[in-house]
Amino acid sequence: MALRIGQRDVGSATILDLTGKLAGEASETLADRIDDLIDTGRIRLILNLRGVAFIDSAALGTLLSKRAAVKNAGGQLRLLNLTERVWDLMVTTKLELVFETFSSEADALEGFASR
Amino acid sequence: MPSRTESRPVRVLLIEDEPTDLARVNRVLDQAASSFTVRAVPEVRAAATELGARSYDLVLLGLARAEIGDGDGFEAIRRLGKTAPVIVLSRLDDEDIAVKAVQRGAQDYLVKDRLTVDLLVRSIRYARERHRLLAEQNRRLEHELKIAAFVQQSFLPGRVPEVPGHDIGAHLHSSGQVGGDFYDFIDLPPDRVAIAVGDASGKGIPGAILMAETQGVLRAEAASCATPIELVRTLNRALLHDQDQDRFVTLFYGVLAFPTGQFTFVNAGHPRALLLDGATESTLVSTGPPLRLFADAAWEEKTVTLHAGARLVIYSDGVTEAQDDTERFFDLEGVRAVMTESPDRPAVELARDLCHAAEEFERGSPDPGDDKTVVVIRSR
Repeated sequence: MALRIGQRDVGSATILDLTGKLAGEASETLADRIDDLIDTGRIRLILNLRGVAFIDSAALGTLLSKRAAVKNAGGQLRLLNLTERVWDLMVTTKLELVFETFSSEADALEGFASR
Repeated sequence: MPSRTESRPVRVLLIEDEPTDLARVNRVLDQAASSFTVRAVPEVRAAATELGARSYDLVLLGLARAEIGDGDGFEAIRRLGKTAPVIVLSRLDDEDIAVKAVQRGAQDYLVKDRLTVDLLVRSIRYARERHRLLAEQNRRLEHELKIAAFVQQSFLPGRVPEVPGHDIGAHLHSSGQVGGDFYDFIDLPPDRVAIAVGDASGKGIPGAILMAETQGVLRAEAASCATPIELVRTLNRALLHDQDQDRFVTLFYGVLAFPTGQFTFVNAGHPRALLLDGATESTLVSTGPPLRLFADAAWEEKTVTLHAGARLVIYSDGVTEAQDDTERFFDLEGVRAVMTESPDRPAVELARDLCHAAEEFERGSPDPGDDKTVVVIRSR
């Protein structure tokens, strides 16, 4: 299933609701979208992964590099609602220690939207 | 000078939901000397269906301001641009957006209010020519990638080591492209053998180069490193020569001492290996992050003993993440099923059977599968 990206702006934060598989070309699509957001100054980003059953290694690389890009722009990339398989991948690669992950939208928005 | 006309009309798919703009584009094309057949659809989804059903020479994508603002427009350009050349027609005279549209694969960006016959006809001609050249380049590139995949196969060890008391087998099923999977065996005389299964992230040339680099360093350093953890640290240092963080290598690296059956390993962010020992089953899970991500990464080294009759299977994620047409995953259950079905088969057959079972599982799935690598060690 191709990746679908919904966008919600909550104050200065932007939530991208992702649905589908984050694999193959989808990681490019997501990278472009994040680049566009950085270009327009939206750098408090939350990726809602509730609808993402699977992330491949290339997409994981994209998440890492975009995390760095957002950080370099002075912002932050947070991950929300990781499904079991995605969480398993984070644990296997020990990247759960690198990404800020949240299981509630309110928590993810904390300190983000109000600024 | 007579103008060059085509023998058949140029088939144009116009995506436009604004009646005045629709009429405007049709009017402009009607005035052109060359002939066009235009089919109009109101939105991108209908256009995608239409492109799947019929052949078109060109897509004219009318974008509203909102679509550009929320990124859907760019996504449409990328998607449609794979099938046919796309020219964006916009009400917005915005240099930045125009450049971005072209970066995403549009051949041109025209402002609707300033559309003239000459401008549109010329833009269409150039767009088609560029798209044709690009397709030709892509075909050449694909051919070269096939050669690269062939070269890559030659990096794999030509033989599986003969180890007293153990039967080792390996199989790699390539997804047909150059990929990042590899396996390797390195003799560590007098009585040990190193076994590596790795996966460099990313497909295509970048993944292939990273895989080749990893394997090169691994072969050069394995004999001089006293322990698996020392090798993994050395490898990580060697691969971490630049700052970009988007490519990494997962590696399962173990050393089998064959007189004792002791197997000491580091699992650097790789999928868990499965150890079946009599009625006991255990998984050798990740003991640290993948390589090439962090200079200060820490790994743990672990040791298990392969008793007589034990089977250890190390695989790449292309196996467990194979998906069938209902989007179910092959998973560890699939690995276990193959490994327990006929446990007495030679290791090389078990490795091949497991790859084939995962391939079979994903047959019918719309997504192309990933590389699949399996190494099996059986203790006699």
